[in-house]
Amino acid sequence: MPYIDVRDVCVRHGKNETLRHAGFEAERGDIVSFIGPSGSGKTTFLRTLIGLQPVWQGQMGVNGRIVDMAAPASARILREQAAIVFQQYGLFGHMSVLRNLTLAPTVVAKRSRREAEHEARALLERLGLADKADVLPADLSGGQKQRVAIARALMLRPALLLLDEPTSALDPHKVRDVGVLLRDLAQDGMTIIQVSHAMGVVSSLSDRIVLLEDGQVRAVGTGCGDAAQQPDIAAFMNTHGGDAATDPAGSRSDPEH
Amino acid sequence: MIAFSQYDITLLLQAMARTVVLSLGGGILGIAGAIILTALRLSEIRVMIPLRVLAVVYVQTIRRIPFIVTLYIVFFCTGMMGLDVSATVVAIGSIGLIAAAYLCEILHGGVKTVPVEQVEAALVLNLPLWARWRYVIGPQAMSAVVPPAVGYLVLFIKDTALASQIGVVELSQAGVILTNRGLPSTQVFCVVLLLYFAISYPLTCLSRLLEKRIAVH
Repeated sequence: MPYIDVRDVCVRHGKNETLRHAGFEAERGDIVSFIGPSGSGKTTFLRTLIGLQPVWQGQMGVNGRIVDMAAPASARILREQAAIVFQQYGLFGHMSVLRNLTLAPTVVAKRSRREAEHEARALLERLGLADKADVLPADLSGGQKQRVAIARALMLRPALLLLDEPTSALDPHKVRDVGVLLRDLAQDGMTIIQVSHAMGVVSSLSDRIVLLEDGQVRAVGTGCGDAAQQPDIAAFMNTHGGDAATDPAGSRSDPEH
Repeated sequence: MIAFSQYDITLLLQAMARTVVLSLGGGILGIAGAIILTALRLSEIRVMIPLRVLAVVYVQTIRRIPFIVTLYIVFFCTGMMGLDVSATVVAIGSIGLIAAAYLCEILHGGVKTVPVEQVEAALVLNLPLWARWRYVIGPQAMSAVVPPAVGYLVLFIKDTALASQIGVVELSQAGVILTNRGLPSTQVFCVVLLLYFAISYPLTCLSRLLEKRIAVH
């Protein structure tokens, strides 16, 4: 049984079906990329995985635990195992970076503030933000905000990390840094699902690529090389600027360089 | 310079106290009502939709009716229903009804200034409802709510003068009574003016203090 098993997800807006029987599978530590034209349902699909988008039907299995995504109580269960980084980051503007990171662990997980701050500072140091702990989000650059948002998500110790356009606001250097970080997290066993329009990022990082069109999964490619060989995915990536020029993590086999 | 008698001073101070009671009572009722109305307007629960519509209709209607009309409606309705309540209570109730509508609009607007991504981020962090309001929505909304809300309440202190129309002897009515008794009107109303200032100025100071505290947090 796959570690992540999402099946038959349908989302309706009135009479329109924005997601139709969508699903995918992923193993622990996989990086999965949702690609597709604008309006194909990528972000909607991502939002269903953390209970932000009401679904008509669908189920999600994480490590054998099956959740009925249409059930009212499913959102809380989904959020216990997943964390999301929004495209606009969603950092709390009136709180310091450190408090952004420690709020949920102290309030929800009831961890001591001291312990949470210790972990948060270590995480910030890992992400090159050690000197930004007491800064407000408004004083950070786009790349720094994004790393803080990732750090905040990681504080929840999620099994599943969701990212909406993680590299859209970053320069090539930062794209590479984020790519290395995601690959490190995946190697630590975290399953990552991202929505991306950056085909360079998708082709170099992904273990699986899910092509969505008109709310349906049109094709699934497994592994970086195989994905490119899947004809529909290869055609989409070719027409949408698929090249390795912005390879964010170097080669798959050598993530450090 | 006029010399106020003991009676005049007592009348003015009692009237001033009544103006404070009207403002404070109406304000507290209004704030409580505004919180309930705002909660209804923000509710996304399906069964609450009729109440949400009612809240919107209430706010939009009340805001378009002059205070004096609301005051008369409440005054005559309580009379028709046979309720034995004083004119002061009627005035407090009327102020509360109107303040709830205006403050609801200010509160609702303030909550809407909090970016949607932050509200969603709080949600996906699994923060319970109270924590979302306590840590994320409340502090940010308050910076948008406090200045207009205090400005509105200061305006309302002045509007309590209309309560005299149903027989409440508040500050401006006390001024009228004193001038009718032969005291020079200019000087009497200068004193009334100073007393109104004494009531509303602390509220303005409180607003500044709150704004500073919010800015610090």
